[in-house]
Amino acid sequence: MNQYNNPIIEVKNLLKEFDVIKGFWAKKAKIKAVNDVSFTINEGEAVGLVGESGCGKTTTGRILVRLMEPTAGKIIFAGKDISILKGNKLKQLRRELQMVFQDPFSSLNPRMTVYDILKRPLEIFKIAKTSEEKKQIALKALQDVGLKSEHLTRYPHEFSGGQRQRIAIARALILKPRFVVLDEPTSALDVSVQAQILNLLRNLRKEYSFTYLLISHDLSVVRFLSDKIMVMYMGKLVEVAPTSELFKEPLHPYTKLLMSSIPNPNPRNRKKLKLIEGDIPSLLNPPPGCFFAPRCPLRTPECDKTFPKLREVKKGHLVACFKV
Amino acid sequence: MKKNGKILEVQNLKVYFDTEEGIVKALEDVSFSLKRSEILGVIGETGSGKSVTAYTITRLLPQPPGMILEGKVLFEGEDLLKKSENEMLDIRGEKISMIFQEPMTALNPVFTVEEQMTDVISYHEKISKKQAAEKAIRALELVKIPDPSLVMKKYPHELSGGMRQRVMIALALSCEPELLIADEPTTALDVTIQAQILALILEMREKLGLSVIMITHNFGIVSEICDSVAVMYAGNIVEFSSIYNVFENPLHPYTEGLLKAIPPLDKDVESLNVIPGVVPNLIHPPSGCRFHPRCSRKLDICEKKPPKLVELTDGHFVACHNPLGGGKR
Repeated sequence: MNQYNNPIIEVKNLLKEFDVIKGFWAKKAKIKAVNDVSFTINEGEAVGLVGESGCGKTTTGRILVRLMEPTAGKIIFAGKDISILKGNKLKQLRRELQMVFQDPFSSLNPRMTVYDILKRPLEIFKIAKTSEEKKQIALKALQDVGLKSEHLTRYPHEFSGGQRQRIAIARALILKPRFVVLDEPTSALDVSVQAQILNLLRNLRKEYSFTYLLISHDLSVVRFLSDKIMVMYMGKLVEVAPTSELFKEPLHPYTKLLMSSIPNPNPRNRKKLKLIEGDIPSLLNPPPGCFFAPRCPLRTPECDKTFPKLREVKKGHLVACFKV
Repeated sequence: MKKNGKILEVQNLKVYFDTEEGIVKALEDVSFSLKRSEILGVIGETGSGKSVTAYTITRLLPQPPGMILEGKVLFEGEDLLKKSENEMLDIRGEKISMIFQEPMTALNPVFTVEEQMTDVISYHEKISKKQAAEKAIRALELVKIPDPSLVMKKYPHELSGGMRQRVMIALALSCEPELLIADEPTTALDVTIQAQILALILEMREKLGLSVIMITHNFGIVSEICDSVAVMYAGNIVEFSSIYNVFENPLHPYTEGLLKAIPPLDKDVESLNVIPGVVPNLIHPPSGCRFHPRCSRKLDICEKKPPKLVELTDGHFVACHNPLGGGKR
């Protein structure tokens, strides 16, 4: 990825702990949802973050746009440390950092019309002076996501899931943010509608030239929309690589397991589905060394002692595994 | 019963729902069949009628609001729609079992795995509690649950999602049914766990000669484990054949459109094929072919007359006035 070399987001040793209550005696415990995660996203780059449920991908995304505070670690946005920002400064930051949520049925206020929803950010940041101007900007955003002017006066319940997600995307992009987190933007949608939204996002990227982090559990979606992919397992990054390389040559045994588990829509190319034992371990009780060791075919005694560091094995290809 | 005969034949099912907004025409003229030891995929998007089909076959459809207006469900030659509720109680679990999408809500949270399993087994078989428990453990072993005697004592909330789905499958298979209907059994699970459950269903077919109806919205799952597939759209079956026919030679424009809308895993593409528009409202479905407003191959007749599901080439059924020529994808 030589075309992008100007970091817009730098994440350093990010940690997020949650308090949980354990067992009958309500003993307090902590889980590390995001555990010592570091990465860089360059301006203009599209980065995918994949992993299974509970791996910490959504928590990471929420912390990046500061909807959540990290327990420790730093987030540098455009050269500025935003991990400790509060009050008005944090509010100003929202103009440049936006998020699109997974569920378009709960992310839009049911009492507001589409126009109210789109106008809100313009009012907060005093972008347009006259109401005519506001209307023009809202209309443009709406048309850019493939909706029409007559939709402005309608309420969210009058729209289908795919249309609602279009509205959520318009709201996120109306301020022309520099960085957007897309959290499973199509996982609540049917295949035919998903294709519409994926094409739309791809076109908007060119038009609005924003950088984004795409969070998804679906590797085919991530492949379509990312230049670089980060694979997360139990709060840790285990592999980072350019998209084409990750699909050609996945190195981490977890990435390999993930790739081999996706059902392939080609009946001539069936996988030998194996009954592999083993579940994802609980974050309450993580294994002592590498978290993937209990399920790993390459496990050695070393793997049970320490968690391997993420290291560069090829240019731009990072892996956290002793055996690679 | 013949070894390779048809275990299930669904003929011309018509199911409506009476709701406050109006009559929902959920299933219209749905017909398909399943051979013994075959895995049939029923694929469709939200609201296509795939779950209603499953609930009609097992007679679990709530009536009202559901109304079964026409059709037959022939299981081993007998029409299930003519059975009394008592007869169905004997058939469900023993001959036909069903597993559901969300194992947490399908299992009873206040009973242990053992209580739920022995309850089902002793309903169908006159055996002692101890024998029933032994049978339950054997079923748990069959689905590769480690330490089955330990899991027997647990409540559903103490198990992970993948384990719960295995318990559900064990429960469904504990009385050795001939037909398993699986309604999106892996949708709530992660891909690595999904692969385990799919492998398990394949193994059960090998070991027990089970016939399976797999309801899903995922073409990947169908291509991995099914022998044949029925594609549903807005309450109709639009295409029905072997998976090779449907995947490599789709005849219905909807099937073709869906297949091309999936982002490919093995190559980079610039853009995805899009089926314009949205799924219709089934209170006021489009006239004629229900797919015609979204179809690129629409003819005049499509607005007027609903196409019948006909066998176009050997074993390849399609409901379309203007089917694709059958060129390779």
